[in-house]
Amino acid sequence: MADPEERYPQAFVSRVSRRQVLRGGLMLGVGAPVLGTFLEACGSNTGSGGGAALQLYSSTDTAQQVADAFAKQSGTKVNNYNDDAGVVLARIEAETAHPRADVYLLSDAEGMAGLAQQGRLLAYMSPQRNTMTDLALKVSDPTGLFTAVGLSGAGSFIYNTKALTAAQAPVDWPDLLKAQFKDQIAITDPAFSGPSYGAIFGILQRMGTDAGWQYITALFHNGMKVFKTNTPTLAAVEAGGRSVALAQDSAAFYDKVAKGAPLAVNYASSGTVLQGDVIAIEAKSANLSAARAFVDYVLSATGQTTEIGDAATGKGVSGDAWIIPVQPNVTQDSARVATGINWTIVDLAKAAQQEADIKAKFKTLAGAA
Amino acid sequence: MSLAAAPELRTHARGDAWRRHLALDRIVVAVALACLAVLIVFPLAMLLMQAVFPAGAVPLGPFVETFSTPSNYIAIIDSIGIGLVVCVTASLIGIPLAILLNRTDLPGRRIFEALVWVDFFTPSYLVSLGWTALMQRGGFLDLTLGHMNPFASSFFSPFGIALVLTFKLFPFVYLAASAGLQAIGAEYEEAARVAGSGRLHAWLRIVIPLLRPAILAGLILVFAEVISDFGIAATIGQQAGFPLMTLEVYNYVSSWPINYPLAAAMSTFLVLSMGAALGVQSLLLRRRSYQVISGRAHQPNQIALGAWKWAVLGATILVFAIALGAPFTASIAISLMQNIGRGLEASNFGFQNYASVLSDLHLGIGALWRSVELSIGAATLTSVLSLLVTYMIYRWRGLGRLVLNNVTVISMVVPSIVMAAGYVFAFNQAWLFNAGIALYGTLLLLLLSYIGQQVSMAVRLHLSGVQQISGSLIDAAQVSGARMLTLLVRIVLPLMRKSIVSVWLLTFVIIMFDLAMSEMLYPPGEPTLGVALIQKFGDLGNIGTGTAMMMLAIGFVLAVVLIINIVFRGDARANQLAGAQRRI
Repeated sequence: MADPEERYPQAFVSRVSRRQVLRGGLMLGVGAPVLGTFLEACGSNTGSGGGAALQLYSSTDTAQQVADAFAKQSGTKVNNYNDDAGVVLARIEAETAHPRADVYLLSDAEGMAGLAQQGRLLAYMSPQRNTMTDLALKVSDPTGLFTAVGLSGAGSFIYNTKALTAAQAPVDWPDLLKAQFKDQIAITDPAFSGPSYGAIFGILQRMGTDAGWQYITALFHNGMKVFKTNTPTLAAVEAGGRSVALAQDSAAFYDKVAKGAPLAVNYASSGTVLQGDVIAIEAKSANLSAARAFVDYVLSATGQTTEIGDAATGKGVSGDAWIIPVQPNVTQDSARVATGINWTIVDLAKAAQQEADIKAKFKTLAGAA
Repeated sequence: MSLAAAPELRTHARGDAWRRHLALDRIVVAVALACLAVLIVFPLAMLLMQAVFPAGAVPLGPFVETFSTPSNYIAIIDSIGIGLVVCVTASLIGIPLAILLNRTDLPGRRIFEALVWVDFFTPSYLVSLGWTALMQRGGFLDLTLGHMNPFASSFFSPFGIALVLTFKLFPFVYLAASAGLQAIGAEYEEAARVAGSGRLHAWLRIVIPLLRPAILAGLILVFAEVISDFGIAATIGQQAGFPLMTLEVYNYVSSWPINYPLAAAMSTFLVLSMGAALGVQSLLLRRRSYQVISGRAHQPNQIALGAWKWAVLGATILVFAIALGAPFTASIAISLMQNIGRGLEASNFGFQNYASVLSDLHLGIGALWRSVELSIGAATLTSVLSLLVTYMIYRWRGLGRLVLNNVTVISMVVPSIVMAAGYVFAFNQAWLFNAGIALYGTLLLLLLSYIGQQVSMAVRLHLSGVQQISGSLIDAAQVSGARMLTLLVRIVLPLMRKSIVSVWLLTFVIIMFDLAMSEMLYPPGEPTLGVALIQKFGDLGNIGTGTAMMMLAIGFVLAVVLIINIVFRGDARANQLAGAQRRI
């Protein structure tokens, strides 16, 4: 009787080592994702333009929840790219030759005005504008290139209540130069934060360019420190390292107050900049009907309620939920101060034209300090 | 095995097959060269164009603007200043450590040496984020000290940047000094001792002067690493408001209003500084070679530390506790806290952060998996391309070899952030879009940029592997009629197995933790691991899930490294170290 092994071709009985099997498996494991990556990468290449999904570029932290709610209601998928206003604007500017987004939702009205001047935006007078508040229309483009979706105070004085009593807290801009605020002031970097740029421009607009820059220089001489975004600025004040922040009131501030942080706010008596989160449609968008529908939704009472949802239900995870709504019949949490503020309305067109110069000068002063 | 295959190859090479092979060879060569041209030469040429001939501005204007405006040149001063400081501080740790681990009876020398390598390979932004988790207000130190961390704001300063860079980069000095010590041997020192010199005297007058070129070379590498580092500049540097060159390049490209010409000018200056530094370094190393004496027959005598042993051991442990222990212990602790505000209560610990990373398809597992796919894809494609190029450099003579050699050497000097800027300038041009090549802002371009950034290093590493293959093996096959592809697949690949595995692994790990290319080139809404981590730590202030994601990524990469090392049983490990050493 033949040996069983002889009956089979050599290949079958030659032992495959465990190592070979492992290697084969590994090759397969490596090969599959490689193929997947390639297909995915190629797929994303052809994704933009004409498709049903709406491409949103945003810098407000409530954008995702609004986009989700819109997608649920309309059935239109929304791809949301969210980052700091400065980063998103840089991306939009870089894509001038080949825009990939349909809608821009930015916490930087000055930046949006700049895009409007470059012809990057499509005018759209949403029917929702008819019912919007006068305050909201003041920071919206009259020709419909962009429209405010939420309002806040830029450069409001947010102070630590453990460090300062209400009587000691600054009530107007000149107070910040006092010796008691030496090395105590924190500001968000205007290079990254639209509202912070708005606040700086507001100072220059109110005081005049020369006096304004003298004042800002004096602030640096008094030890003002620049933080990248609102989060570290407020963190510095909350922790007591600094006693006053010049920051946007909606972002994180009310959130922190709601959670019991020792913070309070004063609005400068000579003026606080009225900052608009603004929405606009890309001029070359190939998905116009969806873009318009999204703008309408965000401006509507339903959209506004979604945006402030977190604040109203007291969950409060996102700072931009604490905006002042643009529709009069939407009620914000009562903790949010919305009246009795001396608003400064900035000349957005001028602010956009001078943005690069002002930011560069601010950076030079910050570097010299 | 390769020689046995030769007769079979000869039959293959006859007639039509011969022609087909030749045509295929040429196509492969052409494709490889085209890849190098598009992935390396094109971006760097566009970068230079942007700086020298900016659109709508005076030629060389960006350079004038860079050096005449304080807000622009302050970053250059900062970078160079920090570079010089860290050279000194890193050598204060690296040189004594090299002497201790090479020449004394310090306990645990092998463990410490392994830790040096761990520190060497850890991406700088991970260390830096670890320090952030430790130091920032509400971070680990704050929690343990009852919100009284005295360094919470002073750490985010030039001091903190220099501290983190020092402990990240001392391995460079250590490795250079160790290589020097091993090259010198103990003969001179022993000769001096025999001649009646004291031990300290012998070291100061003989060993240290002999070590000088090696140490100097190590210092220059530290300097080059500091000025080209993006990970720490983008994290602690950003928070400290202390502008460094790499961060400025990033800001000019990615923060509004953008200024490509200034980014290009700063990048060019950065590359020139790197080139000058590394040029001097290679000169120094070349000079060192004829100081080495050969014919050593025995191990150098170990210095007995005696009574000092435990104090020195403590100091050594302290170095690694600061370099790796502090940032990563803090990260692990923070990642396990459910609510950072509640601090160190036992009930506050759990895996909630990990669960939320694993369920977050956007900034959590989604970004992590995207990086896994991209790095496996890019590492594999880089391996293929680099092997082809390596083979060409190895076998070609004359101009082609010269060009390939120079392209790969020069592009290795280019910091990632500069390469990324080059990709933006190159692929975000209107004429490309008009021609239907809309690569900018796609995952495909990110993948290509990873390959472009890594291929040169892979080629240089493969070249050191391929030198070990005797040319006669290839000659024999060629004489037998084998063409290039056959040669590569049947002879070169099997012989270079070890080198291929280790280079693949190294490339995979580097790309997995890439920050610079990703930050500049990731498609909107499709973040990679590095991008997501920076967002979690920075803008979102969510260090709980940030640290959890960091730990998941590190765990995954360690698992991959381990599995590959087991499967390829030791093939990879030895070579990885050799490869890294070549990088030094």
